[in-house]
Amino acid sequence: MVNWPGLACAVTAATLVLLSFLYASPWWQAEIGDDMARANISPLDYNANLIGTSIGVPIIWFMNLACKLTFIACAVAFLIYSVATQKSYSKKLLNFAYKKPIIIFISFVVMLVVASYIVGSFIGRSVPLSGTSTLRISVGEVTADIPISTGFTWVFWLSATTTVLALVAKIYDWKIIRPAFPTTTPPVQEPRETKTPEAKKPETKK
Amino acid sequence: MRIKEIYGVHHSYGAYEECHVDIGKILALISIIIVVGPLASAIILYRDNPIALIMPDVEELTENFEGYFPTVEYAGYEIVDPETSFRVLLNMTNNSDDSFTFNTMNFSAYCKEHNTFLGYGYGENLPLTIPPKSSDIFRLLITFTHEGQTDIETFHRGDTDFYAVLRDVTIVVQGIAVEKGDEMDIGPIEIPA
Repeated sequence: MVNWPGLACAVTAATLVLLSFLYASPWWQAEIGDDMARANISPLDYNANLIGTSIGVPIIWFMNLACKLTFIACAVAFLIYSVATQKSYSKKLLNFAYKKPIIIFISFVVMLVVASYIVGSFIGRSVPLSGTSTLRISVGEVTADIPISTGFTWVFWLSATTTVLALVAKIYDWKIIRPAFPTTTPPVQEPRETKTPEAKKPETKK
Repeated sequence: MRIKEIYGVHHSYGAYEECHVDIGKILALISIIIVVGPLASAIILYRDNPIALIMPDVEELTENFEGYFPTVEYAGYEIVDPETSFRVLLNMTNNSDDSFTFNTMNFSAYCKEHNTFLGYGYGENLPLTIPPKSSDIFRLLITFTHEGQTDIETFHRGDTDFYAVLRDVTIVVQGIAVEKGDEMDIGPIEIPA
Protein backbone atom coordinates (compact mmCIF):
# COMPACT_ATOMS: atom_id res chain seq x y z
CA MET A 1 0.00 0.00 0.00
CA VAL A 2 1.48 3.31 -1.07
CA ASN A 3 1.16 6.47 0.97
CA TRP A 4 0.43 8.81 -1.91
CA PRO A 5 0.62 12.07 0.07
CA GLY A 6 3.97 10.87 1.41
CA LEU A 7 5.20 10.10 -2.07
CA ALA A 8 4.03 13.52 -3.27
CA CYS A 9 5.79 15.10 -0.30
CA ALA A 10 9.02 13.30 -1.24
CA VAL A 11 8.71 14.65 -4.79
CA THR A 12 8.01 18.25 -3.70
CA ALA A 13 10.79 18.16 -1.09
CA ALA A 14 13.22 16.85 -3.72
CA THR A 15 11.99 19.54 -6.12
CA LEU A 16 12.72 22.24 -3.54
CA VAL A 17 16.26 20.96 -3.13
CA LEU A 18 16.75 20.71 -6.90
CA LEU A 19 15.45 24.24 -7.41
CA SER A 20 17.84 25.42 -4.76
CA PHE A 21 20.84 23.69 -6.34
CA LEU A 22 19.97 24.71 -9.90
CA TYR A 23 18.57 28.20 -9.51
CA ALA A 24 19.01 29.15 -5.84
CA SER A 25 15.26 29.78 -5.97
CA PRO A 26 14.19 32.08 -3.15
CA TRP A 27 11.01 31.66 -1.15
CA TRP A 28 10.78 35.35 -0.38
CA GLN A 29 12.17 38.43 -2.11
CA ALA A 30 12.66 42.04 -1.16
CA GLU A 31 13.75 44.83 -3.48
CA ILE A 32 14.66 48.39 -2.65
CA GLY A 33 14.41 50.91 -5.47
CA ASP A 34 15.06 49.57 -8.96
CA ASP A 35 17.47 46.81 -8.00
CA MET A 36 19.44 49.14 -5.72
CA ALA A 37 19.25 46.50 -3.02
CA ARG A 38 17.81 43.05 -3.21
CA ALA A 39 17.38 40.09 -0.90
CA ASN A 40 16.48 36.57 -2.05
CA ILE A 41 15.82 34.45 0.98
CA SER A 42 14.84 30.88 1.71
CA PRO A 43 15.91 28.31 4.28
CA LEU A 44 17.97 26.69 1.52
CA ASP A 45 19.60 29.78 0.02
CA TYR A 46 20.46 33.31 0.92
CA ASN A 47 21.50 36.06 -1.43
CA ALA A 48 21.48 39.73 -0.62
CA ASN A 49 23.17 42.63 -2.30
CA LEU A 50 23.25 46.33 -1.71
CA ILE A 51 24.33 48.66 -4.52
CA GLY A 52 25.78 45.70 -6.36
CA THR A 53 27.78 44.41 -3.42
CA SER A 54 26.93 41.00 -2.10
CA ILE A 55 26.27 40.90 1.63
CA GLY A 56 27.39 37.49 2.73
CA VAL A 57 26.91 36.20 6.25
CA PRO A 58 28.86 32.93 6.60
CA ILE A 59 26.70 31.42 9.36
CA ILE A 60 23.66 31.65 7.07
CA TRP A 61 25.47 29.55 4.45
CA PHE A 62 26.01 26.81 7.01
CA MET A 63 22.40 27.04 8.19
CA ASN A 64 21.26 26.76 4.57
CA LEU A 65 23.44 23.67 4.22
CA ALA A 66 21.80 22.12 7.29
CA CYS A 67 18.35 22.83 5.81
CA LYS A 68 19.35 21.36 2.43
CA LEU A 69 20.59 18.18 4.10
CA THR A 70 17.42 18.06 6.16
CA PHE A 71 15.24 18.33 3.06
CA ILE A 72 17.29 15.67 1.26
CA ALA A 73 16.95 13.33 4.24
CA CYS A 74 13.25 14.10 4.42
CA ALA A 75 12.72 13.38 0.72
CA VAL A 76 14.66 10.09 0.85
CA ALA A 77 12.91 8.94 4.03
CA PHE A 78 9.48 9.84 2.65
CA LEU A 79 10.23 8.06 -0.61
CA ILE A 80 11.30 4.82 1.12
CA TYR A 81 8.45 5.00 3.62
CA SER A 82 5.78 5.74 1.02
CA VAL A 83 6.51 2.67 -1.10
CA ALA A 84 7.14 0.40 1.90
CA THR A 85 4.45 1.38 4.32
CA GLN A 86 3.92 -2.18 5.48
CA LYS A 87 7.46 -2.57 6.70
CA SER A 88 7.96 -2.45 10.42
CA TYR A 89 10.50 0.38 10.15
CA SER A 90 8.19 2.52 8.03
CA LYS A 91 6.67 4.30 11.02
CA LYS A 92 10.13 5.27 12.20
CA LEU A 93 10.88 6.68 8.75
CA LEU A 94 7.62 8.60 8.71
CA ASN A 95 8.21 10.09 12.13
CA PHE A 96 11.72 11.01 11.07
CA ALA A 97 10.57 12.68 7.86
CA TYR A 98 7.25 14.40 8.40
CA LYS A 99 8.29 16.87 11.09
CA LYS A 100 11.24 18.29 9.20
CA PRO A 101 9.49 20.32 6.45
CA ILE A 102 6.93 21.51 9.00
CA ILE A 103 9.60 22.73 11.41
CA ILE A 104 11.62 24.43 8.64
CA PHE A 105 8.55 26.08 7.09
CA ILE A 106 7.19 27.38 10.40
CA SER A 107 10.65 28.56 11.50
CA PHE A 108 11.08 30.41 8.22
CA VAL A 109 7.72 32.18 8.49
CA VAL A 110 8.34 33.09 12.15
CA MET A 111 11.81 34.38 11.28
CA LEU A 112 10.37 36.52 8.47
CA VAL A 113 7.69 38.00 10.71
CA VAL A 114 10.18 38.75 13.49
CA ALA A 115 12.73 40.23 11.05
CA SER A 116 10.02 42.37 9.44
CA TYR A 117 8.97 43.63 12.87
CA ILE A 118 12.56 44.39 13.91
CA VAL A 119 13.35 46.22 10.66
CA GLY A 120 10.04 48.09 10.91
CA SER A 121 10.86 49.17 14.47
CA PHE A 122 14.32 50.26 13.38
CA ILE A 123 13.20 52.41 10.44
CA GLY A 124 9.96 53.55 12.05
CA ARG A 125 7.72 52.17 9.36
CA SER A 126 6.16 48.79 8.87
CA VAL A 127 7.66 46.62 6.19
CA PRO A 128 5.04 44.39 4.58
CA LEU A 129 5.79 40.72 4.12
CA SER A 130 4.13 40.97 0.75
CA GLY A 131 3.41 44.21 -1.07
CA THR A 132 4.95 47.60 -1.57
CA SER A 133 5.77 50.39 0.79
CA THR A 134 7.64 53.68 0.56
CA LEU A 135 10.17 54.56 3.17
CA ARG A 136 10.95 58.27 3.68
CA ILE A 137 14.38 59.07 5.04
CA SER A 138 15.67 62.58 5.73
CA VAL A 139 19.35 63.25 6.18
CA GLY A 140 20.20 66.94 6.53
CA GLU A 141 18.74 68.79 3.55
CA VAL A 142 18.13 65.65 1.56
CA THR A 143 14.92 63.63 1.69
CA ALA A 144 14.68 60.28 -0.01
CA ASP A 145 11.55 58.26 -0.78
CA ILE A 146 12.64 54.69 -1.08
CA PRO A 147 10.18 52.15 -2.54
CA ILE A 148 10.36 48.72 -0.97
CA SER A 149 8.64 45.78 -2.59
CA THR A 150 8.45 42.36 -1.01
CA GLY A 151 6.71 39.16 -1.92
CA PHE A 152 6.55 35.42 -1.63
CA THR A 153 7.56 33.44 -4.68
CA TRP A 154 5.82 30.37 -6.06
CA VAL A 155 8.59 28.30 -4.46
CA PHE A 156 7.29 29.43 -1.08
CA TRP A 157 3.89 28.02 -1.96
CA LEU A 158 5.57 24.82 -3.12
CA SER A 159 7.21 24.59 0.31
CA ALA A 160 3.82 25.25 1.93
CA THR A 161 2.42 22.41 -0.17
CA THR A 162 5.29 20.18 0.99
CA THR A 163 4.45 21.02 4.59
CA VAL A 164 0.77 20.26 4.10
CA LEU A 165 1.60 17.00 2.29
CA ALA A 166 3.87 15.97 5.15
CA LEU A 167 1.00 16.48 7.59
CA VAL A 168 -1.47 14.73 5.32
CA ALA A 169 0.96 11.82 4.92
CA LYS A 170 1.11 11.43 8.68
CA ILE A 171 -2.68 11.52 8.97
CA TYR A 172 -3.03 9.15 6.01
CA ASP A 173 -0.67 6.74 7.74
CA TRP A 174 -2.59 7.02 11.01
CA LYS A 175 -6.09 6.76 9.59
CA ILE A 176 -5.70 4.55 6.53
CA ILE A 177 -2.45 2.64 6.40
CA ARG A 178 -2.02 1.51 10.02
CA PRO A 179 -5.57 0.15 10.34
CA ALA A 180 -5.05 -1.73 7.07
CA PHE A 181 -1.87 -3.36 8.38
CA PRO A 182 -2.51 -4.33 11.99
CA THR A 183 0.92 -5.77 12.41
CA THR A 184 2.42 -3.19 14.60
CA THR A 185 1.89 -5.34 17.69
CA PRO A 186 4.47 -8.09 17.46
CA PRO A 187 2.93 -11.50 17.84
CA VAL A 188 6.31 -13.08 18.53
CA GLN A 189 5.15 -14.75 21.73
CA GLU A 190 2.70 -16.90 19.86
CA PRO A 191 3.63 -19.95 17.86
CA ARG A 192 3.37 -19.46 14.12
CA GLU A 193 0.60 -21.97 13.85
CA THR A 194 -1.57 -19.98 16.23
CA LYS A 195 -1.21 -16.81 14.16
CA THR A 196 -4.25 -17.67 12.20
CA PRO A 197 -5.59 -15.22 9.70
CA GLU A 198 -8.95 -15.59 11.38
CA ALA A 199 -7.59 -14.05 14.53
CA LYS A 200 -6.56 -10.94 12.62
CA LYS A 201 -9.56 -10.72 10.38
CA PRO A 202 -11.69 -8.58 12.67
CA GLU A 203 -8.84 -6.09 13.05
CA THR A 204 -8.29 -5.77 9.35
CA LYS A 205 -11.94 -4.98 8.88
CA LYS A 206 -11.79 -2.04 11.26
CA MET B 1 -4.28 -13.02 -0.50
CA ARG B 2 -4.51 -10.10 1.84
CA ILE B 3 -4.38 -12.35 4.88
CA LYS B 4 -1.35 -14.06 3.46
CA GLU B 5 0.40 -10.76 3.15
CA ILE B 6 -0.38 -9.94 6.73
CA TYR B 7 0.74 -13.33 7.80
CA GLY B 8 3.96 -12.86 5.92
CA VAL B 9 4.66 -9.69 7.79
CA HIS B 10 3.95 -11.44 11.04
CA HIS B 11 6.18 -14.23 10.08
CA SER B 12 9.24 -12.06 9.91
CA TYR B 13 8.36 -9.60 12.59
CA GLY B 14 11.02 -10.72 14.99
CA ALA B 15 13.74 -9.76 12.56
CA TYR B 16 12.13 -6.39 11.91
CA GLU B 17 11.92 -5.69 15.61
CA GLU B 18 15.70 -5.83 15.78
CA CYS B 19 15.90 -3.56 12.76
CA HIS B 20 13.49 -1.18 14.47
CA VAL B 21 15.94 -0.34 17.19
CA ASP B 22 18.83 0.10 14.82
CA ILE B 23 16.91 2.22 12.33
CA GLY B 24 15.57 4.39 15.12
CA LYS B 25 19.07 5.04 16.34
CA ILE B 26 20.41 5.60 12.84
CA LEU B 27 17.65 8.10 12.03
CA ALA B 28 18.24 9.95 15.28
CA LEU B 29 21.94 10.07 14.49
CA ILE B 30 21.23 11.39 10.97
CA SER B 31 18.94 14.05 12.42
CA ILE B 32 21.71 15.22 14.73
CA ILE B 33 24.46 15.08 12.11
CA ILE B 34 22.59 17.05 9.43
CA VAL B 35 21.82 19.87 11.85
CA VAL B 36 24.80 19.91 14.17
CA GLY B 37 27.37 18.94 11.52
CA PRO B 38 27.23 22.13 9.41
CA LEU B 39 27.01 24.40 12.46
CA ALA B 40 29.90 22.63 14.17
CA SER B 41 31.91 22.91 10.94
CA ALA B 42 31.17 26.64 10.86
CA ILE B 43 32.38 27.10 14.41
CA ILE B 44 35.53 25.06 13.75
CA LEU B 45 36.33 26.88 10.49
CA TYR B 46 35.83 30.31 12.07
CA ARG B 47 37.28 29.48 15.48
CA ASP B 48 40.00 32.13 15.02
CA ASN B 49 37.52 34.87 14.16
CA PRO B 50 34.01 33.95 15.33
CA ILE B 51 32.69 37.48 14.72
CA ALA B 52 33.30 37.01 10.98
CA LEU B 53 30.88 34.11 11.10
CA ILE B 54 27.92 36.35 11.82
CA MET B 55 29.01 39.70 10.39
CA PRO B 56 28.98 40.70 6.70
CA ASP B 57 32.05 42.28 5.14
CA VAL B 58 31.27 45.95 5.83
CA GLU B 59 34.56 47.28 4.41
CA GLU B 60 33.79 46.02 0.93
CA LEU B 61 30.31 47.51 1.19
CA THR B 62 31.70 50.91 2.21
CA GLU B 63 34.24 50.89 -0.63
CA ASN B 64 31.61 50.01 -3.21
CA PHE B 65 29.13 52.54 -1.82
CA GLU B 66 31.48 55.41 -2.63
CA GLY B 67 31.93 54.25 -6.20
CA TYR B 68 28.30 53.36 -6.80
CA PHE B 69 26.99 56.85 -7.56
CA PRO B 70 28.11 58.49 -10.80
CA THR B 71 30.45 61.46 -10.72
CA VAL B 72 29.07 64.66 -12.28
CA GLU B 73 31.08 67.18 -14.29
CA TYR B 74 29.84 70.36 -15.92
CA ALA B 75 30.35 69.80 -19.63
CA GLY B 76 28.98 73.02 -21.13
CA TYR B 77 25.75 74.55 -22.27
CA GLU B 78 23.72 75.14 -25.42
CA ILE B 79 21.43 78.05 -26.21
CA VAL B 80 18.22 76.46 -27.40
CA ASP B 81 16.36 79.72 -27.88
CA PRO B 82 18.08 82.98 -26.93
CA GLU B 83 14.77 84.35 -25.66
CA THR B 84 13.36 81.42 -23.76
CA SER B 85 15.63 78.48 -23.01
CA PHE B 86 19.07 77.00 -22.69
CA ARG B 87 20.44 73.58 -22.02
CA VAL B 88 23.07 72.58 -19.46
CA LEU B 89 25.18 69.56 -20.26
CA LEU B 90 26.50 67.36 -17.48
CA ASN B 91 28.93 64.55 -18.01
CA MET B 92 27.93 61.60 -15.85
CA THR B 93 30.48 58.87 -15.25
CA ASN B 94 29.39 55.56 -13.82
CA ASN B 95 32.40 53.92 -12.18
CA SER B 96 30.48 51.01 -10.70
CA ASP B 97 30.05 47.50 -12.09
CA ASP B 98 26.29 47.94 -12.48
CA SER B 99 24.29 50.18 -14.78
CA PHE B 100 22.82 53.31 -13.23
CA THR B 101 19.49 54.82 -14.23
CA PHE B 102 18.29 58.38 -13.88
CA ASN B 103 14.52 58.26 -14.06
CA THR B 104 13.52 61.90 -13.68
CA MET B 105 14.93 65.25 -12.63
CA ASN B 106 13.06 68.51 -11.97
CA PHE B 107 14.24 71.77 -10.51
CA SER B 108 13.73 75.51 -10.32
CA ALA B 109 16.48 77.86 -11.53
CA TYR B 110 17.33 81.21 -9.97
CA CYS B 111 19.82 83.91 -10.80
CA LYS B 112 22.56 83.53 -8.23
CA GLU B 113 23.35 87.25 -8.17
CA HIS B 114 19.82 88.66 -7.94
CA ASN B 115 17.87 85.64 -6.71
CA THR B 116 15.41 86.10 -9.57
CA PHE B 117 13.31 83.13 -10.54
CA LEU B 118 14.61 82.27 -14.00
CA GLY B 119 12.44 79.32 -14.83
CA TYR B 120 11.82 75.63 -14.51
CA GLY B 121 14.10 72.88 -15.61
CA TYR B 122 13.95 69.20 -16.17
CA GLY B 123 16.12 66.36 -17.30
CA GLU B 124 15.65 66.09 -21.03
CA ASN B 125 16.99 62.74 -22.11
CA LEU B 126 15.44 60.64 -19.36
CA PRO B 127 15.32 57.90 -18.39
CA LEU B 128 19.06 57.75 -18.90
CA THR B 129 20.79 54.47 -18.19
CA ILE B 130 24.54 54.68 -17.95
CA PRO B 131 26.22 51.31 -18.49
CA PRO B 132 28.90 50.14 -16.06
CA LYS B 133 32.29 51.87 -16.34
CA SER B 134 31.14 54.41 -18.88
CA SER B 135 29.94 57.99 -19.27
CA ASP B 136 27.00 59.74 -20.82
CA ILE B 137 25.78 63.30 -21.20
CA PHE B 138 22.86 64.32 -19.04
CA ARG B 139 20.95 67.26 -20.57
CA LEU B 140 19.09 69.73 -18.39
CA LEU B 141 16.69 72.06 -20.17
CA ILE B 142 15.87 75.34 -18.49
CA THR B 143 12.90 77.31 -19.75
CA PHE B 144 12.86 80.99 -18.79
CA THR B 145 10.02 82.87 -17.24
CA HIS B 146 9.30 86.44 -18.35
CA GLU B 147 10.81 87.61 -15.07
CA GLY B 148 13.93 85.58 -15.75
CA GLN B 149 14.28 86.91 -19.29
CA THR B 150 14.08 90.46 -18.00
CA ASP B 151 16.73 89.76 -15.36
CA ILE B 152 19.15 88.31 -17.88
CA GLU B 153 18.54 90.95 -20.54
CA THR B 154 18.85 93.75 -18.05
CA PHE B 155 21.75 92.61 -15.89
CA HIS B 156 23.60 89.78 -17.56
CA ARG B 157 23.73 90.41 -21.32
CA GLY B 158 27.29 89.72 -22.40
CA ASP B 159 28.25 88.11 -19.08
CA THR B 160 30.86 85.41 -19.33
CA ASP B 161 30.47 84.12 -15.82
CA PHE B 162 26.74 83.96 -15.19
CA TYR B 163 25.78 81.54 -12.46
CA ALA B 164 22.38 79.95 -11.98
CA VAL B 165 21.26 78.27 -8.78
CA LEU B 166 19.12 75.17 -8.84
CA ARG B 167 16.60 74.76 -6.03
CA ASP B 168 13.84 72.27 -5.21
CA VAL B 169 15.81 69.65 -7.00
CA THR B 170 14.01 66.33 -7.25
CA ILE B 171 15.93 63.46 -8.71
CA VAL B 172 14.69 59.93 -9.16
CA VAL B 173 17.56 57.51 -9.53
CA GLN B 174 17.28 53.74 -9.49
CA GLY B 175 13.63 54.20 -8.54
CA ILE B 176 14.51 56.20 -5.43
CA ALA B 177 13.22 59.78 -5.27
CA VAL B 178 15.66 62.20 -3.69
CA GLU B 179 14.70 65.80 -2.89
CA LYS B 180 17.58 68.13 -2.30
CA GLY B 181 16.77 70.92 0.10
CA ASP B 182 20.07 72.68 -0.51
CA GLU B 183 21.18 74.52 -3.66
CA MET B 184 23.29 73.53 -6.64
CA ASP B 185 25.36 76.12 -8.49
CA ILE B 186 25.50 75.85 -12.27
CA GLY B 187 28.04 77.86 -14.27
CA PRO B 188 29.89 79.75 -15.45
CA ILE B 189 27.46 80.35 -18.31
CA GLU B 190 28.27 82.76 -21.14
CA ILE B 191 25.34 85.04 -21.97
CA PRO B 192 25.47 86.45 -25.52
CA ALA B 193 25.64 90.22 -25.80
